[in-house]
This record gives sequence, structure tokens and C-alpha cells, in this order.
Amino acid sequence: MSGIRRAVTLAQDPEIAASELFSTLWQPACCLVLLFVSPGYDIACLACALNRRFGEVKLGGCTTSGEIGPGGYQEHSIVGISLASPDFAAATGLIENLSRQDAADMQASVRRTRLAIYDAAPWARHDNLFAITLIDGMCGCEELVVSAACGALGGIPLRGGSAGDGLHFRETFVLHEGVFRTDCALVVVVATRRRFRAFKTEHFTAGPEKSVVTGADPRRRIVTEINAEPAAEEYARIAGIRADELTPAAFATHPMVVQVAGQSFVRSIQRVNEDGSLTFLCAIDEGVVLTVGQGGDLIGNLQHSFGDIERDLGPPELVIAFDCILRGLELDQRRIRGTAGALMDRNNAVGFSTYGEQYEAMHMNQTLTGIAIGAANA
Amino acid sequence: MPDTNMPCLARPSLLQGEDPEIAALRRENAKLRKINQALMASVERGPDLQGGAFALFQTAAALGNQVQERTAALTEALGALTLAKEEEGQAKKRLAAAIEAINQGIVLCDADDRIVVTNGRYRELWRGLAAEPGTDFASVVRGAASRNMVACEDTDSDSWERFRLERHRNPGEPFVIQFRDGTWSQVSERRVPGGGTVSLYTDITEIKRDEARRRERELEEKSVLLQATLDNLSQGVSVFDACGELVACNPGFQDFLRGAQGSFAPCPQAALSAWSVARLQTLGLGFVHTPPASLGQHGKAVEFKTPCGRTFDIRCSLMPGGYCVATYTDVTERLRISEALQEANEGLERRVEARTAELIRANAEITAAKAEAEMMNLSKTKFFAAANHDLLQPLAAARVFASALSERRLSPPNRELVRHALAALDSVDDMITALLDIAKLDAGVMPPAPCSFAIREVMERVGEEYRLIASRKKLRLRVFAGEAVVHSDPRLMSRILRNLVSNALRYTSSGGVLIGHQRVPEGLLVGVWDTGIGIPAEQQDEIFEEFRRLPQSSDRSGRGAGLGLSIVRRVSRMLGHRLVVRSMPGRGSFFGIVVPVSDQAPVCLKRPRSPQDGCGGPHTLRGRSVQLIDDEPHVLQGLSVLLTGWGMQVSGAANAAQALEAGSATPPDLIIADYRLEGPATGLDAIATLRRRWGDLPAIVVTADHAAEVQQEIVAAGLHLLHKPVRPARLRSLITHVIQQQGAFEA
Repeated sequence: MSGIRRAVTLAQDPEIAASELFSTLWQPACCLVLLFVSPGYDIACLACALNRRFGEVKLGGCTTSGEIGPGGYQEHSIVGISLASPDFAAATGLIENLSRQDAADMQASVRRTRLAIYDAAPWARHDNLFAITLIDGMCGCEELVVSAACGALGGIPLRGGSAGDGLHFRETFVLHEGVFRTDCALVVVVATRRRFRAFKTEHFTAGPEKSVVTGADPRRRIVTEINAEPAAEEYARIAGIRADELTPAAFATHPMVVQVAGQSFVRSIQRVNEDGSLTFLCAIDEGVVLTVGQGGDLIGNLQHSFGDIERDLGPPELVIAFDCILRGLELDQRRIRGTAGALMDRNNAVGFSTYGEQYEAMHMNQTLTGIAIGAANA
Repeated sequence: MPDTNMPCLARPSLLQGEDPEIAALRRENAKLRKINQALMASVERGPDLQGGAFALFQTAAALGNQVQERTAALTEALGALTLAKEEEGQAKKRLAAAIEAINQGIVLCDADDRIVVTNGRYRELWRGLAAEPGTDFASVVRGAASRNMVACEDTDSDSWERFRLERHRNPGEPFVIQFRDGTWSQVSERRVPGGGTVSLYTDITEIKRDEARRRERELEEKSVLLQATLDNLSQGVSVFDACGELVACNPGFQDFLRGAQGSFAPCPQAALSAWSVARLQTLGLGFVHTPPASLGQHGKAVEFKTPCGRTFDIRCSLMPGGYCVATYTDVTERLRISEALQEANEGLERRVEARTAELIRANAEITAAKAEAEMMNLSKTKFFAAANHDLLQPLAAARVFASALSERRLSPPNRELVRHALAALDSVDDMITALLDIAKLDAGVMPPAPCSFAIREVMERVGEEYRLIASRKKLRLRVFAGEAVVHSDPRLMSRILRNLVSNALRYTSSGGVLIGHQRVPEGLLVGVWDTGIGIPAEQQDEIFEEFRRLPQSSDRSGRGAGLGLSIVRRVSRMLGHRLVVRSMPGRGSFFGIVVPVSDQAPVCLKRPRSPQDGCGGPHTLRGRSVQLIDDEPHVLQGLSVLLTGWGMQVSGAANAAQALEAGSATPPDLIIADYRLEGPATGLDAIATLRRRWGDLPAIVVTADHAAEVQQEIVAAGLHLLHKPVRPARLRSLITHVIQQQGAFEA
């Protein structure tokens, strides 16, 4: 396997972990290293250890709510990939201070990144580029970032994930140039001579009973009332679960779904607040019509997706996967994590469990998005 | 955490005692109204782009690709724009780098002549001057001029400044700037599109230096060569500059100075100039180092004698730059040679005089010898004439007497004797004539006069002459002639043919004789064929010798003297014609000569009238009077007898005076005078004298002289000519002719 390396380390010591990652990921003409780091690590020490080893190599990444790599799903690990010339070239750019930025500034920043790829790869064309976003999962403004980024990228495929913090929902970090930061988004533009495919898959559809958000704080993604009833209570009633059972696992299996233009999009609930309101992982507003989604066959859906990829590219050499944390919870609940993990492993997937997935100009929940890279050149 | 912002519907209190169903409906109604309100607000708000995060999501999801495509296009355009800008920036950077990297100074000025861009080289050239973008170009030039940075050889810095700005305004041919620091730049300027000027400064210092070094080296080489040339000149050369300092000289010059002084001590090389000036001054040759103004362009030349006796030619001229060049040529040797030459010349002249005198003397001798020879020739001719006269005259007289005798009435035996005497006389006459001919041919007094003529004429005339003789011998004589034209002497040709025909007739007893010709490669073979006795091959050479005769002659009485063929051989040699003899004993012979054929037109030969042509018979002469003049009494007597026999009245005289003394009152019909008379007078003189008395009478001159001058003289006088020996028949014929002609005139 040339040009692409995949790695995983379970070592908890930052130095050892960095060494292991370096020994596996380093390759001549290495142009990009992406690391997905379990939130348990001492990220300051890890950053030092990584910088000492990788030096000038473009190093990006983020914290996770669970890692996907060689061996499937895991926790308390670091997984990573490296890409190298001549098949790959990469440019990275950081959008900082997300909470204070406006769309135009973000667009300018992304545009610079996109132009930089032409310097790194003079052979880059519109159709051999793709973009990856890694966004602080607690920023609450992924919609704005992807909207701006997608505009600036001029229609090249964009996939990405929001950084995770296990199930704690406290702090997530984005790694850029050897520093873990918050309130920022990393945009990576990759040029490749390989055939690739950007994909998305989900397995929920809208349910029959519709309800309306009658009270919300859109800025904070909080819904206070649904159908003029306290949101949590009303959600529990509609979903048919007891109020004391409103846990992430229940949110995972009973997601709220919004219908837009005939398509179903999951609006995942992050948590129940003490005042009975619900905090969501993605944008929500008053007047939005919600249903409780009806889940399909996750494994079948996953197999189907990988099947499509393989038909398109042949067995993929790498799948960079952004898998919603709530899907992970569903896997646990249904006890199919092993099966899904094996599928992931078999398709050379490396990625992490996210606080939300980016798909073109949209920020969504409870999906699997990613980039599959084939062995053959385009 | 109570939410104060969002009012929550209070649960209906059962304590108010309201109907639970109504209360439930009322609550339901309130909820529905709120839902309704939220939905309407949402609808009214609409999925605008300025809305919140959900709106963005909604828009992204709803408009999906449509918006994305538009956004993409826009972004693409923006991206391209940015890219273009970046590229422009890049290009600018590259251009700047390129300009900076160029090994020449560059300055670009805009249309207002303000500096737009310069490179390091340029700024280095004008270091210390602010040549930043935006600066006025003129100010840079002014700065350079005021700091005196440019070495202007011919002009001051103000003029240079004007020149430089003028060139900048009107760029043309590249020009060169020399800097004070010794460097050189070539400046090329050009207008750029949109106004403005770009100037390129190329450092040509090295080229200039190389050039200077090369020039110096060449000068050095030339100088060395020049000095070497000077040194090798045998002449002395000196060059003084305008200050009278010796700047160049050669060993010849130094030798001259030493020789002129009479001292041969070496020249002091250190102070050569001063030493030379002093010497020249002493010798009075000061003009060589300080030329007077009068010296002019053409210089001056003097001759200078040294104490040791040598002479020098000193020539001095001015050169541009005030230099005075003098050459010192030792002409001693030349003078000596010149003198020697002069002497030699004089000696030569003397010798030439002597030789000329000798030559004149020799010439005189030659002239004398020639005169003597001519005299001898003349006397020879005179001898022949005399011989002719003296031999033939008595013979003619004898013939006349014999002829007169034969016409008397004689007894047959006497008649036979007279006839034999006449034949003997004829034979002697022929022989003497032939001998004289041979003598004349040998003496060269009959030079051939060749011309082109028709051979037929000559052949037919000869045939005519011999026809009578042939018929007496009962031989056929035929002439067979074509139209050929030959180049020869017709008179001599006739003589050859006569001799040949005569010979042929003599040696042929039966058959015939043919005069004819035939073509041969060298020309025309003309000759005579006969059916005579023939000549044996061994005798064919002998027959041409004098007095050779073949033993068997057909005609005993007609035997020739044996001189005919000898004459033929002589004449043919003289004419250069080959003689051909073919003969078979007993069958016949052929004698002929080969004559060159001519392609020119033939001259017309005068055909002498045959005596028989005269139509008058003997009676016409009867009664005619004739005056004879001859200094020989027996000739006079003989002729008188002959003419009297023809019935003429004859009076004879020795000369004109005698004739006039004795003459009757009536003039005679005819005068017959001998050419040669006693004394200096000729027959012509005598005739002239008589004609003065008697008028223009016809006259005949008789002469034995065959010289052409005599003939011409006679013909020119309008007289008739009769050669000696006079044959009675011919004389009679001529007299008849002359008298008839006279009669015709008188009639």
C-alpha cells in the first residue's frame, strides 16, 4: 500500500502513542496526517510528542467520541491516516473564532485553502479534489461553517465531522499545526490521482405523527416546547418512552426527524435540560415540524453502502468515516457494534464517532458520511 | 431552570370547578392556537438566507444542488479572480525578479517621464541619487550632472545634461556614457507602448578597456615597426617637434652628424636631442629643428658638403602637428657616378662622331661601287645594243643586197646560188638573234613582267606564225587551246612556245605538230607535241645544252643553231616554270612548261597586226617618196636599193641637216630613221628636225636596241618602231600601213 497508511495506537502514554503512530504513518513525501484522538489523552503532551516526530508534515485531527480504525470501533485510542505524494496532495486551513466569525470571513479563509492546493498540486483539477471539515463539536454553528465552506469550495465534495468528547459534551478540540484548539474548524482540501467517492448513508425515515416546535432558542439549539407542551415531556409521549428513560441511548433509537424537500433528516437530541427543554445537536427553530423517526436496518444499510462503494471503486484502500455518536449508541443497544466494526475494518475505514456530520452544505445527525479512496488511479 | 422567556401554558385548575371536558378542550384549543401561531410565524419567516442556522440547513437541504451550483459558479468565478490576482501578483513578482536578475541597468519611465521601475544595477550606476519610483527622470540626470558623475570629454556637464534629456525624450541609436570612476555604459532607449521610455544600461567597460589595450598594443607595435624601418633606412632621418626637441631619429642621422663634424666619436645617447641641436646649429642647419615659417608645405632641399668630402642632400618638410621631418641622403656616390656618366657620355659622343664619319665614308664608297656597278651594267647593256647593231647591221645590209639580187633576172644556176646565200644569211641571222637572246637572259636585262592572260591568245598567235612553215613541210600544225587564264610573262611565254614549235617542226618529217595544254596539279601544262624522231631517255638532259643537236634532222637545210631549247630552259627558269619533256624515239616528243593558273581576269594582249593584213599590194608604194636617215652608208645604200626596188623614190642622208641640205622643195611621204646616229642626236631628234621643216610626216624608227626605255620613247613620240634586223617583208608591210593611215587622215 503506497501513499496511504492507516494506524491505531492503544498506548495511553502520549510519547509511546506518538512513536507508534509515527512509525506506522510516516512515509516519504508524506503530505498529510490526520489523527482522531480519544478525549482521555493529555492533549498538550500528545501535541508536543507528535510535533517532535512529525515536524513539518501537515498534521490535522480532532478529539472523538470513539474511534474507528484497524480493528473496527474502539475507545481510548488514537487512529490516524497519512497520505503521500505523488498520489496525494493536501492543503489545510483553520477557521478560528467560529463564534465571532461571519460567513464572508469564513469563505475567504476557505478560499485561501483551496487556492493553496493548486500550489501543492499543480495537477489538481476540480474533479480530483475533495474537502474534509473537522469542526469543534461544541461550537453550535456547524451550519454556518459548512454553508460558508461549501460556497468557497465551489462544489467540490465536502465531508466532515464535529469533534467529540465522548458522551460528556464539555469540550472538543481540533488539531491543527501541532496545536489542539477550540472554537475553530479545520478545512482540509485533498487532491488525489486515485479514484474516490464521497458518500452518506442513514437508516431513519419520518414517522407518522407530526408535531410542531412551538418554543425554541435556535441560537442555542434548545427546544422548549413541542406542540405547546414542555419539549421533553411531549417528546417522551410521542416517542412512547417513559420520562425517566430519556437517555442518549433512547435518543439514538428514537430520533426526531424533519422532512425537507421530501427528504428525512435526523435532528438528534443531545440532552434533556432540567427545565424540560431539549438541547439538540443541530439547528432547530420554532415552527419546525418533527416526527419520531422510524429506524431501518443499520447493518444492511451499511453493507449496502460499502457495496455501492466497492462496485464504484473496487475494494477501497481507505474510507475516512464520520459516524454519528448516536449510531454508535444504537450499535451498542442492538449489540451489533462488532458486526459493524468488522464491516468498517474490512473496508479499511478510519474515522471517529462524531457530534454531527457534515455533508456538502449541511450539518446533520445520525448518519455516516465519508470519503472512500480506491486503489486505482482515476 | 425556569424559562422566563417562554411562557408555558398553565395547567387548568380543577379547583375552579370547570367542566373537565370543557377545560380540556379549551386547553387543547390554546395549544392548537400556539402551534398554529408557530407554524404561521415559521411560514412567514420563510427559509431566507439571512435566517438562523436551521434556515441555513433548510435552505441547503431544500435548494440543495440548485443553490450549490449557483454558489459554486460564483465561488468559481471569485476563485478564478483571486487566482488571477494571485497569478498577477506572482507575475509581477517574477517580472521584478527577472528585472533584478538582468545583468543590465534598467529604468522604465512613464509618459510623464517619472520613474516607474528600476533595478539594482541601475541604482548602483547612479548610487547616491534617489532613483525611486515616482522620481522625475530629469532630476536624476540633473543630480548626475551636478555631482559630475559622468566624464564628458568634449562638453561641460550642463550640455551633457541637455544631451541626455534630449536623448531620453527622443530615443534613437544607442550611445555611450563614460563614468568618472572609469566605467563605461552603453545606453539603449526605446519608447514603450502607452508612452514612457525604457532605458537599458549595458556595462561595456571591459570591452572599452580591451579596445584601449588593443589600441595601445597596436600603437606600440607600429611604433616599434616604424623605428625599425627608420633604423634600416640608409638615409638619415630626424624628426623634431614644434619645440625643437628631437623626437625620432635613426643611426643614419647620427652618422651624418658625426661625419659632418669630422669626428666619429659616438653620440651621447642620453642628451641626444641637445647634442643634435647644437651640432645642427654649428653646421648652419638650424632650419631642420626650428623650421622658419617660410618653410611651408613643400619643404626645402639643400646640398651640404662635409669636411671629409662627402655630399649630402638634405630635405626638410613640415608635418601636421608642427613636426619637422628631415632626411639626409649621402649623394656623394651618386654625384660621382653622375660625373662618370657625364664623362662616359662625352666619350661616347666622340666615338659616335668618329663612327659616323667612317660610316659616311663607307657609304660614299658603296655609292661609288654601286654607281660603278650600274655603269658596268649600263655598259653591258650598251655592249648588247652595240653588238646587235654592229653585228646585225651588216647582216641586214647583206640580206637586203641578196634580196635585191634575187629579184633580178638571173640564170637558173645563179638564182639557185642567190637562194642558198639568202638561206645562209637567214640561218646566221637566226643564230645571232638566239645568241643575243641568251646573252640578254643571262645578263638579266629582260626582266619578266608577269600578268594574268588567256593562254589561248599566245598559243594561237604562235600557231599563226608557224602555219606557213608547217604547210611547206606538209605537216599539220594544230592549236588546241581552252579558256584557261595563266599567270606569267606573255612575251617570254611566246618565246618559249616559238622555240618549241620551231624545234618540233625541224625534227618532224611526217605527221603533225600540236600546240596544246592540259591540267596538272600545279597548274597548266602548256607545250608542243610532235610526231618526230623522238629523243632517247639518256639524251633528254643533253638536248638543253647550247649547240646540242640531234643527229637526225629531218631537214638538212633547216637545221637550227641548237640554241632553241637552251633558250627555253633559261626562260622557264627565269619564270620559275617547270620544264617537262616526254619522248619516245621514233614516235614523237612532248616539250612543255607548267604555268600557274590565275583566277584573275585576263588582260587583253595587243595582237600585232600581221604584215599580210595590209590590204595594199606592191603597187601602193610605187611613186611614194621616202627620206632615209642612217649614219651607216652601206645600210643606207642597202635600204635604198630595197625600197627603190619597190618603186619608191628614195633620198638618203646621214643626219637631219644633210637631209635638209639635199632635200627637194616637196616633203617626202615618209621618213625612215635609224635610232642610233653619229653624235649625240638620235633618230628621234632627226625626225623632229625634219618635221619642223616639212610638217607632221609619218616616220618609222629602226633600232637594234630592245631596251624598254627606247621603245617607250619612240612610241611616246608617236612614231612607228621596227626592230633590226630589218626583214624586207615586215618593212614593206609597215610602210604600206603607215602610208595608208596617212592617206586616211589626209582624206
